[in-house]
Amino acid sequence: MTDKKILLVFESTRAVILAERECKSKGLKCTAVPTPREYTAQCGIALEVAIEQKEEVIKLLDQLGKPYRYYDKKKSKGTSCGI
Amino acid sequence: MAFNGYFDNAATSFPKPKAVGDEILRYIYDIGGPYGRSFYGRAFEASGVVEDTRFLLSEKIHANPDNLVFTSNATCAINIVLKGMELSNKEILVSSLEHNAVMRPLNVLEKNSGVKIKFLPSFDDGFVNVEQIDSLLTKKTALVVVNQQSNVNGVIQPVAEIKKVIGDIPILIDAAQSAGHVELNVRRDDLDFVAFTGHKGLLGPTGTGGLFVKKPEILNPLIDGGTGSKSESFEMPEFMPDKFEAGTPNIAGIFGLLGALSADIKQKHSNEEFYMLINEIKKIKGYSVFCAESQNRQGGLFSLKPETTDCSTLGRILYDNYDIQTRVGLHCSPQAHKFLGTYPYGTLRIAPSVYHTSDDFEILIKALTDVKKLL
Repeated sequence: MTDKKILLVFESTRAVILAERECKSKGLKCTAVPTPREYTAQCGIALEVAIEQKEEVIKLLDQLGKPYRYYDKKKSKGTSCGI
Repeated sequence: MAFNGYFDNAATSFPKPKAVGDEILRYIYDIGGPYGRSFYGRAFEASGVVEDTRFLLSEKIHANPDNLVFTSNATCAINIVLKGMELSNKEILVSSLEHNAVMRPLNVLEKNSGVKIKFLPSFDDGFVNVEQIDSLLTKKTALVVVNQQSNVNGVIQPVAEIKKVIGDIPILIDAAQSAGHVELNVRRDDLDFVAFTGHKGLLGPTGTGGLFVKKPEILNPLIDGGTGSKSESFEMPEFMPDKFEAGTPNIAGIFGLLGALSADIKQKHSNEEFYMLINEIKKIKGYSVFCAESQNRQGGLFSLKPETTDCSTLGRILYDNYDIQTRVGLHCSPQAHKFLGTYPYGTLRIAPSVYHTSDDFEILIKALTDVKKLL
């Protein structure tokens, strides 16, 4: 596993907590971090996951149905996902 | 087992399950941290408990947790609806047994916004006569408010049937007394708003409560402020639950409420034993009993009035001589008392909890019998 991470940002705390629980229940490691300044802060808490888990996490979050954005930490513009 | 003389559970429940205190202390001494504002472990754990509580409360009323917001009590939840909807110059229908949590904000709307208050037709005990509602509905009817369980005589209203008749007109259910006692299914019954408190039938701590909102878009927030989200904007978020949760919630209280919800306390008396309590008191000469006209619409409280003295005197004698704790007077429900003919002096209310046993009821009956001989 590389050190590269993706960052997931959400509208609300409730969405962050649900996403974190969902990831952990599926054995996907994610870490709560303060949303970095350079990303548009919706909720002040973001989730960081290993880039190798990106596809699996995104699939999971799409099922969760909470709007989110993910960043690979190189792009300046995130990708909007969810409903 | 010692006699449980606390019959004021409609004001607030006592005792609470042990888990209520344990959970509050766990938050105060071990967990700490804010809700939804920070990323570190303790904040995340506290936020997780808040969300667990939201989930359990939602389950109880068959709601989507996103549509349930925390408030400090039922009164606050009711105010969010009555002051957040566009009701100027509209008509609002209310039941005859409403509490001041509804009547006072409506009085303000009547004075300041041209709102017209109309009363739902009802039977002698205040139970809404559903068949006669239709004739009251006009193009101006914007909201119907119903106290699901009266805090004076315990009448349980047919909220599902009322909603069927009013159709698309929103209904606000005041579940302050009924939450934890009477079933509510917002999905099946298509309910629009449900306001409840955590410290009565749910056995949680004071300062907790909530509001279910089916369509958040028809309400403006009552309180504006920080939510930990969309912080770059001076506007409140439009998404739920943040739209109605400005400011730090009562996290310690919500921990306690989760303790109460998880405790799963079983009622220590049967409904039949409770009905028997009412019937035995009815048999004692010299008391008028205020309860539902039939058992199938009787909730877990009722009132009485002595014929030869006032309720305050009776309440004091019961307390001084038998350690029986009741609430006398108008119970913040002058509207209900006017309807029942007990205004302005009110009644003496008997509101047991799940912890009362049939032995407690027998002692209460004996005390009321003995006291009557003295009056």
